[in-house]
Amino acid sequence: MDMVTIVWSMVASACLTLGLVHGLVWWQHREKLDRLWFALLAVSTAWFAYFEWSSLRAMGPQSYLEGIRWMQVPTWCMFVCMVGYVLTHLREGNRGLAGLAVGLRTLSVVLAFTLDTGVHFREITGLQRVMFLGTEVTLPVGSPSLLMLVPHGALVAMLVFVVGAAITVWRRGEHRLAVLVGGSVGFFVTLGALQSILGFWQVIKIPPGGSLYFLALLFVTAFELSMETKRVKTLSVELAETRAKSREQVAHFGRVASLGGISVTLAHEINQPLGIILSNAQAAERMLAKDPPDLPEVRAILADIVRENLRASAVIQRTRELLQRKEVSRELVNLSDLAGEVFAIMRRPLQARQVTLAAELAAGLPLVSVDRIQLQQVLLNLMLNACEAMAANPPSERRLSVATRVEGGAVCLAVTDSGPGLPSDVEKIFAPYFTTKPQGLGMGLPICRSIVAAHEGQLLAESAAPRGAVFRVILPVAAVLQ
Amino acid sequence: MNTAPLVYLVDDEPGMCKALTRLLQTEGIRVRSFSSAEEFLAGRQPGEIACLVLDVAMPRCDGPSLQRTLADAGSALPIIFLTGHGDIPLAVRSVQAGAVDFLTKPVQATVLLSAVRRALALAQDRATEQAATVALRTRLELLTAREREVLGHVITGKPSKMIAADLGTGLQTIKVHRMRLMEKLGVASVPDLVRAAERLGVRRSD
Repeated sequence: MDMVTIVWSMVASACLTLGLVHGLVWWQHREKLDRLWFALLAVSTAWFAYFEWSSLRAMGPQSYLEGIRWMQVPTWCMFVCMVGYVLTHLREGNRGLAGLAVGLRTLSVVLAFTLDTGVHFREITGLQRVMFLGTEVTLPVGSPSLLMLVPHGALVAMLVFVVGAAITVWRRGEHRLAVLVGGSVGFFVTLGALQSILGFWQVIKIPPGGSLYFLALLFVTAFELSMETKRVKTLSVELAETRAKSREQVAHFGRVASLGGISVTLAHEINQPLGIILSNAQAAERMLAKDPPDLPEVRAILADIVRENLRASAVIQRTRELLQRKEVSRELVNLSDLAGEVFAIMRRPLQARQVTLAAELAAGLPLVSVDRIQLQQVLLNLMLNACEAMAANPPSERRLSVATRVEGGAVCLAVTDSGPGLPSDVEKIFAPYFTTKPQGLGMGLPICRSIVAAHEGQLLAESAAPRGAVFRVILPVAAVLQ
Repeated sequence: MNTAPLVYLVDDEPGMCKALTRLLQTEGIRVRSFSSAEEFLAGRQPGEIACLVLDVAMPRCDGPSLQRTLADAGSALPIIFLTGHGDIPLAVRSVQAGAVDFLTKPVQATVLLSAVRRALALAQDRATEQAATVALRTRLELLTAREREVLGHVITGKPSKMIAADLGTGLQTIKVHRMRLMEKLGVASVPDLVRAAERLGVRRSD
């Protein structure tokens, strides 16, 4: 096999492979029309390469003419695909120019098939054999036809169309895309066109190598497309990460927000097993008082009591897990920022309760080392408590103030309400099960205090003047390593 | 028919049904438990002297809905509500709608048992009353048309002389009618007669 045949068949198979790969991509993502155009472009190039090869191997003027006549058909396809590719991939391009290029190309197909000698020659007087890649190839000898201006005009129109589109893309800010597609198409099409034009006008004596240039072009473009695939993949991975993160955040907010409502649920869920235990135990008591006592039944009762007891513990365990994230992760936090985050969660609850929030958040606070979520829970719970305390006030008297400030070596976060104030024995409110809410469990403040204590801080409460209560979270400033 | 008092128990929590059944049975109370309102409506026997211990929060048909259904059907079944959470407005509403008691879980045995006994006594009273009314109605059927006419006048409190004038007949005749109808209705005095007539819905002839 000669070198020319080897090279041209390699070109054709490379084009077909590219076409297959991108065709498959399109098959899986039907909306990616640029992939379809690209695949068709590659297949047309392979087809073109075949006719180019057959013209190079032509033995007589007639078979050479047939070769370049039929070459017009894949060329026409390549033009159409190129236009389609540029329009769908770059999403730019002057449609008039595209129409001109395809129109001229269509005209040259028509001319090639209606004229005896084709578009390129008035007549072919003979063939000459030249050496190319160590192989003897055929070159025509004859008088070039002026009609050749039609396909060459089409080439120029295509070139202007592609380069124009690339320039618009460049202006759009996508420099890499503009250079890769516009630059490569411009460069290789110009080179191929020049060679073919000069060859056909018989200025130079080398065989046309259009398909070689086109293959190079296809490779560059394919590279661009795979870059895009990679970018899309990176993007989708990032998207998935963001989504996972935001889901986690929502779950956190859910946990934070649940602290307020948790006592009600907890009370309800624990009441049921407790009720069953009580009634069973009292039934057993009565049974044992009888003579003779129904011992098998008492045994059954004890089994039921054990089961219900375990159920109640499971509820408590679940709640505890809900309240405490398994891993406590400390980070350096600005309490003013943290308050801002909680305000975002509280915006609707405050609106619903018609409470006016006054925030006095100090700027440039020293950082504290805390578990962000737990501290958010504390502030949220204090704010919800404050709202509850003011529920009996007329809406104009429901004023909630949250302030941050530096106090010596500590940062203080104060939540002040305009409710009825605190009992004289302030410490009582931190005792477990102390509650003023009809459905409360009295666990909110003790949990808050234990969270703050775990951060080496203090949660203090006092009555405010002239009315209301103020809760202060005092946390030590983090020792920052310089 | 078994004459031991009967308690219907409706709670969607099987453990709770079992525990309360045991507790009530130690006091010699018959219990029939159901896990839903629908099951109860299908399985109860309307003739029984009984009360209903009803859980407030149940899936699908909850306690208050069942209470309404029973009231619409004209049931006189006394109802004791059991609830996991002391919802005061709900308690007020259900008691206004005729509930005998509203107890919160966990419920003390003594509290539940005394509520159940009260409800059963009420059921007994209602049943006795109903039976008495039925008996009285049978007696009323025995009265002649003229005696019923006289009854309508007697219960207005008019003396016999005036009734005789109103009906255009002799005093002695009215006295005989009056004696006969009191005998037939099984009452000994005019106040008893008035009460009986009221219960039977006899119209006064003013």
